[in-house]
Amino acid sequence: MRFDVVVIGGGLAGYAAAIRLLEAGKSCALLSMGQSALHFSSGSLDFLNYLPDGRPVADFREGLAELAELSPGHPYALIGIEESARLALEAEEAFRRWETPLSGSLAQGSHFRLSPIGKLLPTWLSSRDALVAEKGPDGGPHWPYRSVSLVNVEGFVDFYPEIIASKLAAYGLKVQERSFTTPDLEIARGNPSEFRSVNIARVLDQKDNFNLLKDFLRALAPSSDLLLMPACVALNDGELLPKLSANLGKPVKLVPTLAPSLLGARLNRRLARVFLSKGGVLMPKDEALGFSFAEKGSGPARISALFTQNHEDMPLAATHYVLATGGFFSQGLKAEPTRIREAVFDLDLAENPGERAQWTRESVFQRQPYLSFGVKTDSNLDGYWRGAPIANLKVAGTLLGGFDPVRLGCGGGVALVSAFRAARAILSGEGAA
Amino acid sequence: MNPLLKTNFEACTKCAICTEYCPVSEAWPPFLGPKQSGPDGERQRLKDASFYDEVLKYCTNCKRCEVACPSSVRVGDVIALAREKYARGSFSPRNAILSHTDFVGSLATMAAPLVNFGANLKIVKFFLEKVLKIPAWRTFPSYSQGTFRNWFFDKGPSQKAFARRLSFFHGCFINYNNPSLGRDAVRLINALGLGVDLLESERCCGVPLVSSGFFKDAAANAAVNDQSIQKALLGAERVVVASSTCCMTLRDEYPDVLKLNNENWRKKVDLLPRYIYRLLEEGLSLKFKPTPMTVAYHTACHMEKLGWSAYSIELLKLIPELKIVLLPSSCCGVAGTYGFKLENSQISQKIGAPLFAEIAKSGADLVVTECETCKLQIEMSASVPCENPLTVLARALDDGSGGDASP
Ligand SMILES: Cc1cc2nc3c(=O)[nH]c(=O)nc-3n(C[C@H](O)[C@H](O)[C@H](O)COP(=O)(O)OP(=O)(O)OC[C@H]3O[C@@H](n4cnc5c(N)ncnc54)[C@H](O)[C@@H]3O)c2cc1C
Ligand code: SF4
Ligand code: SF4
Repeated sequence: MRFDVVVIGGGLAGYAAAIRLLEAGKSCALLSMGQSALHFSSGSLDFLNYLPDGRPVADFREGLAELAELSPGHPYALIGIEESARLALEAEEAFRRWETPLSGSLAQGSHFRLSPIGKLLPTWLSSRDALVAEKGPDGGPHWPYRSVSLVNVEGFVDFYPEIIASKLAAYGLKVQERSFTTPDLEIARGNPSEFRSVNIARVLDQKDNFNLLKDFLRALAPSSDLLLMPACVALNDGELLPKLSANLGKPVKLVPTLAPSLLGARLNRRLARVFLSKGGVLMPKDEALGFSFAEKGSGPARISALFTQNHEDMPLAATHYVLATGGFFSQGLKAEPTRIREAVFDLDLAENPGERAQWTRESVFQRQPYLSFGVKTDSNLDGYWRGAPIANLKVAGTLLGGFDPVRLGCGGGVALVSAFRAARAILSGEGAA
Repeated sequence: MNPLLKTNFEACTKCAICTEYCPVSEAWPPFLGPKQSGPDGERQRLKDASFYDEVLKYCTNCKRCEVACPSSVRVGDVIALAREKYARGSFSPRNAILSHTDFVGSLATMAAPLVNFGANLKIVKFFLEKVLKIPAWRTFPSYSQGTFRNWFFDKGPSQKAFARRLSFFHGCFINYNNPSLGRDAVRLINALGLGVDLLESERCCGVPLVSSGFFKDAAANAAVNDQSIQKALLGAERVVVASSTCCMTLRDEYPDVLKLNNENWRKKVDLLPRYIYRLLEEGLSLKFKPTPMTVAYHTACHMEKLGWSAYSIELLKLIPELKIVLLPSSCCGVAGTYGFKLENSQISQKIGAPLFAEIAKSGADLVVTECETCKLQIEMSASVPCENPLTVLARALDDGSGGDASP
């Protein structure tokens, strides 16, 4: 089957690139082996929280400049720091166009969110439903609330209301804790190991249950500036809580829970929907297995066909390919006994991983070298094979080498910036071709 | 090899994403869900068979859990294998009737007008519900007068002249309930310049038997089909199938659940739209006339698992003026014979509700899907006609015959 572009990987980077290309009129297929890292992430997208030497980033643009000095192999540095900032704005614009509103922007600088265990973390873009705080003049969070009703679902253990409450109390907020249930939730609770955020949401989002929740929150509204819940409601509909907030006259906000994470899952579902609505061809549960090169001409090598699990002897063919298969976590990279391998094409890596003993450090709190492994590219994000660029393969997202998304807090930003960079390179014919 | 090992169940990281996508646990939380019924439960069952929970029979075998799993665990297969190994269900005449589609189908087709009339009579429906536990409000598939096979051999267009041949696995639904889909398939294949054979002896693929727990009967059917397919491939270049579920069963459930080694023919069994696509890529052609209407494409569960929706969608795009809306993938709830069982019927309708809403929103004149039980469910619940893409393609064929060639 032939397309203008085939995107491999259904995470943030793959979808962003694919939708951008569809918008520009390209025909596009996207294959994904399984659900992506978004299902495990907070749903807030980080741009750059720390520098490689551990210092926190106070201002995004200054941070970028320092990053380029300290870590010239980081994708932002490779793409160019001016260009990266511009692409980040393009991403912000795109989410508005895709009717997937997020709060935050590069221009405003970072805002704060809470982790599932109550840690205050800076970030770039958040779901409108997430509890966030602007950065105050002292550099700490500015909470526009005084009294908070924190409502947990009875029996839900992937969320720690006491910790969140004490954290908010430490900022001077007055917190009253409540717990909520419905007869249907009690039934679901009968299966405790599956009483997880998204599964609770599937019960709570049903009209009867949601109405019970609404009544419960309505009773608390007069005594609260904020109605706060763990992220276990509104799995499919980003308008549900803004509407509820308007109805109650008080904001209803969510704190991310342990995985699976509803706000991340919802963003993933939303991107899939936008992709389909723009005519993209989705191939869920298909794995890219191998490829063939076009007959050798004079220029750089070109991929002519992509073999997949489901399509067997009928490979997919495209003018361009985008590889966004994530890192080890999503199996874009594989650790073999003596080497690290990019799983589909065996692309060149950005740095030599060295001996197996050097891939990891014993203490989980130390920097883990394997987290920054990834594939080599140039500023156009061309993938390299045996030392030479491939003319029609771009790489985006966590699969890129030269950065550690966890340590630097830049996973979401790199995914989006590189996706838009790859799309633009394809649209303008930049790169090895 | 022990089929359980092929399920990769040890790779489960307990992330619970499968449960997020399971339509049954959404509609009915007491179902343990794929993680718990599948890999988690299996670890316990391997230690002690008494951990087997009869609630596993509520799994529809839709395989959406497998599609979602980031670690490539074949969750649905783990559950099916556990049911085969541990379930101690008592015999139910209802399950026997619903699942033995060959036997019931041949009886019913002989007496089609009576059965169709009877199945929708109040008194009969009362009996169905009270005695057989089949919900009274369900519309039954009507049985046609005369099977597809009879039409093919008695009245069908002669297939002698064609040098290249495909063997058509029609399945029960085409044979007993919807022969016109079979005629559409024949017409499309002939329009490409290829001839059609039928398998010398064709049994139900076995999927309804598997889902009702009749594993032995299913394996017996598989053995017959295995022989017929091998024989057919001596003369035909492929065995082609119109129904996504039959196709998935022949290719994947035979080796993975029914323990039949089909290595030597698995890749020669193809869904017909995919094979048509291949023939077009080879250079054969089909001509379509403008068909100004809107169709909504629904990805049936087993179609999602096969991963071949794109072929049907790309073929439909060849029809001038046809507008195609892609429905977000979600289960219609009927899951084969599942929705025909009273204890499942409310779960079944609840599962389908989001899909029915999407269909209404799409404004489509027709829903298109490769699954025949989805067709029953959608026509009953969404009140929009539903056809296999092959029917849409055949109706749009510009072969000079003008419209449906069949009576
Ligand atoms: C647990 C966890 C939490 C995180 N939390 C945050 C956070 O809060 N904020 C933040 O900004 N970043 C976070 N990150 C970083 C996160 O990885 C990035 O933000 C971003 O989501 C990565 O997107 P991606 O598209 O590059 O890769 P992924 O999301 O990993 O997607 C890769 C996709 O490719 C598919 N795939 C892999 N191989 C193949 C193949 N051969 N064929 C077909 N498909 C294939 C996978 O199934 C998957 O769908 C987190 C990461 C992890 C692992
Ligand atoms: S999605 Fe896969 S890995 Fe996750 S719990 Fe289910 S079976 Fe296990
Ligand atoms: S096969 Fe379908 S019904 Fe059964 S557990 Fe998996 S998702 Fe649920």
